[in-house]
Amino acid sequence: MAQEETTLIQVRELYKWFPIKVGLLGRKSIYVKAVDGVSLEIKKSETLGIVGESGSGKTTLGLTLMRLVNSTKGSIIFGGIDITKMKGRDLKRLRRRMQMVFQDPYASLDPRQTVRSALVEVMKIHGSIKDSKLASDKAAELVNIVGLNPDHLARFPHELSGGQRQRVAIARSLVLSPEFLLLDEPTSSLDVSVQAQILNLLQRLQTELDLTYVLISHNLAVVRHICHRTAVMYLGRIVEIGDTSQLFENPKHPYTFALLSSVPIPDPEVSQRLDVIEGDVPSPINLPSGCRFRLRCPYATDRCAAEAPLLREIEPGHSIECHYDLDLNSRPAATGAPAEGKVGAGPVGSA
Amino acid sequence: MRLYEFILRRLFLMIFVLFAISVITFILTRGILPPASAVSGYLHLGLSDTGKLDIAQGVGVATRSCPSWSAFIDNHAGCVVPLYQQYFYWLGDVLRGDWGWSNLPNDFGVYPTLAAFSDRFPYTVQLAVFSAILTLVIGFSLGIISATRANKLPDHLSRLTAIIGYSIPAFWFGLLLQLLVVYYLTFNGFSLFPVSGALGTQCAICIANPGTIHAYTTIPVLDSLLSGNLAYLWDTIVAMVLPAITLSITTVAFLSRILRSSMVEALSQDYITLARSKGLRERVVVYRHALRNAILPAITVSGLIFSSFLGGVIVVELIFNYPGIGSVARDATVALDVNFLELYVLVSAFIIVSANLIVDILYAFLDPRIRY
Amino acid sequence: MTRSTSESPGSRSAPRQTAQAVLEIRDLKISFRTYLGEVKAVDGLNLSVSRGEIIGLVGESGCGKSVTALAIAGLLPRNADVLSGEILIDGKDLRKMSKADLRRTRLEDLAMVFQDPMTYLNPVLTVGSQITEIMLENPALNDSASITARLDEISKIEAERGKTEELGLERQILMSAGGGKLGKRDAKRLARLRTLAVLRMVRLPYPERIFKMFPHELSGGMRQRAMIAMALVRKPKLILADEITTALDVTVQAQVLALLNQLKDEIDSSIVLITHDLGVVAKVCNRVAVMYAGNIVEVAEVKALFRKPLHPYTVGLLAAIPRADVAKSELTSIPGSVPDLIAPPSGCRYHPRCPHAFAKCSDVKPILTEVEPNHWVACFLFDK
Repeated sequence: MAQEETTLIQVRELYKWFPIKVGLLGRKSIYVKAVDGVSLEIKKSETLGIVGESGSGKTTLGLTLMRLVNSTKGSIIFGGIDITKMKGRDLKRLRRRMQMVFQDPYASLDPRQTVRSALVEVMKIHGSIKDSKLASDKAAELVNIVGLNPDHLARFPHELSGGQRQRVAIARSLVLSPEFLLLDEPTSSLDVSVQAQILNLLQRLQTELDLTYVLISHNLAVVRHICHRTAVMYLGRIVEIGDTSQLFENPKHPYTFALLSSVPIPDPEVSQRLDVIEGDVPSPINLPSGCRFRLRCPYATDRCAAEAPLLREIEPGHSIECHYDLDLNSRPAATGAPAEGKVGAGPVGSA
Repeated sequence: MRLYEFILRRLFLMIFVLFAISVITFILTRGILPPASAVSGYLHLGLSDTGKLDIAQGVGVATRSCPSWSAFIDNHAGCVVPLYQQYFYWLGDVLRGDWGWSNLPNDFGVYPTLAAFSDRFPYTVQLAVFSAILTLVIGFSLGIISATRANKLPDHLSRLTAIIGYSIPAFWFGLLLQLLVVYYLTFNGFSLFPVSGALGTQCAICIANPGTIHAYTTIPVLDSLLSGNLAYLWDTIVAMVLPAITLSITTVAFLSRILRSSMVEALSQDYITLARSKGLRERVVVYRHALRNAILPAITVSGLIFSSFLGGVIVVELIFNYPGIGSVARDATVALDVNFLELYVLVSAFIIVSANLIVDILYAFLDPRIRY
Repeated sequence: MTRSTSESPGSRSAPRQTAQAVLEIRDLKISFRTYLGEVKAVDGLNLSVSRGEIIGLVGESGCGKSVTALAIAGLLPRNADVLSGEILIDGKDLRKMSKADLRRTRLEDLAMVFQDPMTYLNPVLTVGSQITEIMLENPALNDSASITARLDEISKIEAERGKTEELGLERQILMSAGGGKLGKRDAKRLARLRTLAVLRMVRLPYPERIFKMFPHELSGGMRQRAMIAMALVRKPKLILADEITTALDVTVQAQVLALLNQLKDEIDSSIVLITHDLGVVAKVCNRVAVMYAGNIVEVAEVKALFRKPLHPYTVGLLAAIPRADVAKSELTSIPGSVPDLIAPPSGCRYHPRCPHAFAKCSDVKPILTEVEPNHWVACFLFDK
């Protein structure tokens, strides 16, 4: 198989642990295991969705992929090269090939910079276009691509609407003609009617510019709509990954099933049992033994406590991290009273 | 981490802080001062060991290293020891409770450093506590009034008071108070408040012969209470009024502004909206919900203020002729009394570090989110 | 569950039926003074909420839904002015009330639940004390009439459902009033008892432990349950729930929505559920009002609205949401963006984005009209 050609990014056993100092003299360290052994493959020209609740580690995984956060262990192969130890000029060159779009365009754009200077600045920093006339032309071309008109070039972020700001942020990420875009909750600060515009724009850009996307989101509907493949994260690990249609129509991991059942469907005539699982995501500091989902899992057995499951393929292109092949559509009753330990469980920091 | 672990750790760190400060002070005093006074400091120190009153001997003439400690003390051999060795000699004595002799001018000829300190420190303690109470009561009231009526007349008035309080130099304000009292508040030849001293016997509202008290704690306020001499207590307090007002004018301004800004901030928080939506009375919203959150920065400031009061305030003590530790420290500096200065600096450091520790412990009780 | 559906959502053209309405808003206009100009946030809003119903108030950010809720609770920020209109709770106009009466109304009849339970709960007070203070503040709970009434109620419940330890304890505390008022300690014990009951009602495990905990010691879902308990404890006539699941994770949101569905049958309060999520509306509400740029553009039974949305904005909104349960090929988006309310469009505020707009739309403001039974729309397309 010509997999070498189709794989853009290969992540192997990636870890990111954040230490917290404790103890009398701050010597003993405990860790927040934000990313705890993730392996995945991002194919060229696809959109991979990473979904999870807060504390699942999806944002940390994204930042580690972008080398905005250094990994603790593991490798990220981007276009055949391990980028985890890349430094200096190599790293700067790498940045041209991978760009990021953030959740809040108002926070990620400089309020004192016009749209034009925000775009031209990127070209200057990376020296891609030195002539200012050419740079200005390129900026005009980019705003056109993202569906704005040249009038917008002279505006400041506060003079734009939320949707327009996000378009500018997308245009900025495209300045260096990257191959790969990391989209971190790109529509969650936008209104529904505007969200649809941005999602459509992203889909159009992908085909026109042959881009590869990783979309990080807690919004399952958005992921289903835009992603080719989807990975579900829970407490730092991927518990299920597969083609979007497979995963949404036939989830095999009890967590994925619970997550999907929890989304309120905007149709009053679809009857839906909402509370399929109890409790909140536990803290990523004190992880349970064995399978990390077992405390909330209605199917948990002794084996789940004793032995951590590993990601295994159950059908081509569809893997789960669960010991069992469960028939999830025979819906279980919600679990009984939550365990004593859950009461004191602290809040979980956002991912 | 548990709170007691935190306290233990901080106490442990305090030892290092005090050690470092003692070294720095030692170098700054004995290392930089001319050898005469440096050695004289040692000779005083040595006296407690040897009992000899042989101060003038050998000052500044030492040229070679001493064969022994006693040779250095006696100084007949005309020798010096290196500074680091001097430090350990000094430290050894201090750890045994011997702070040496002070060369402050006094009535007794020789004066142990510790006595020079403890004769005056109780006065500073009572003035500090009195001024701190004054600062807290007025500062908190002004801060709360300002915050709850933000940008209205009371807030503007309180801001004006604060600006004035900040800008007036204490020496000028103190003199102004004295003038005011002496010229305008004088009845039958007696001013309303005493303008000088620690026991008011020369004022309109003073009790002329308050009698005497027994020194249980050496702090006059407490001793007069314990001795049951309320006349003495009254006179002691009356004498502190003017110095305390002078001391508090700046700190009240500081504290009230800090509290105002943290109260305004707290009052704009979401939990205040919820508290109001519950239909609670405004008084409950302000005191129970806002003040509990806003008090934390004010407590830090209060800790700093109190420890600065305890260090003695030279200017105010001089103006009101108040026998606190600050003016002694000034005299000691002029007299190059290194033993006294070393003790004074260490006690001040100890007070500041302890005040910070107490503030941190208070934080843990007032804000349940803080875990050390 | 079928509810009385005869009430109008209230409009100038509709007959007023206030007899059963818990909340009736008539022609409410609110604007904000900002340094850029006057923001006309709510522009002539009419709404009526009947007893026991859950009505969804949906719209995008800036449409005025949260402002409306704050206006009802009398908690608008200082730079906001209610220009005109009536807000009637049980027939009493909140705008004509004295400050003290408004406070009493909030204490007894009107509760709010907010979006982010972390910032809305006071971090330095225990969960229990933040709930009991509501009861301890309310003198009506501690007069001899209400004590006698509650004692009768307890006897009735005991006769119907049998004795419980909790009811026995409550009776014992109430009896200690001896015909007069409760002492301070007994009032506190009673408040604690009722707080524990309401914590149990929102399905919080181990209420005795949670009573003593501080907000940061609870998870997001538990905090939101605690805030709901705070609203329920006064048995209010109306609960205003402003985006109460928006800050929560999906699985936790599902649990809170399920709780609301269970509570629906246990309490008498009406709930105004403010949200931007049509999924939440579909799962919880009986009726729904869609807001756009300060106006209600459509009011209908939930099923009718989803089955047959009438207003072009509602149609556009439903087409624009991606769905997790079915694959949609392409999302239909609404062109343009939400208008600037300092200079809102003339006539119908939606007309610049509306695919069906015609001349009249930019001149005249459409009013809510009942075009089908209980289905009200503010749009000239349905003029007969």
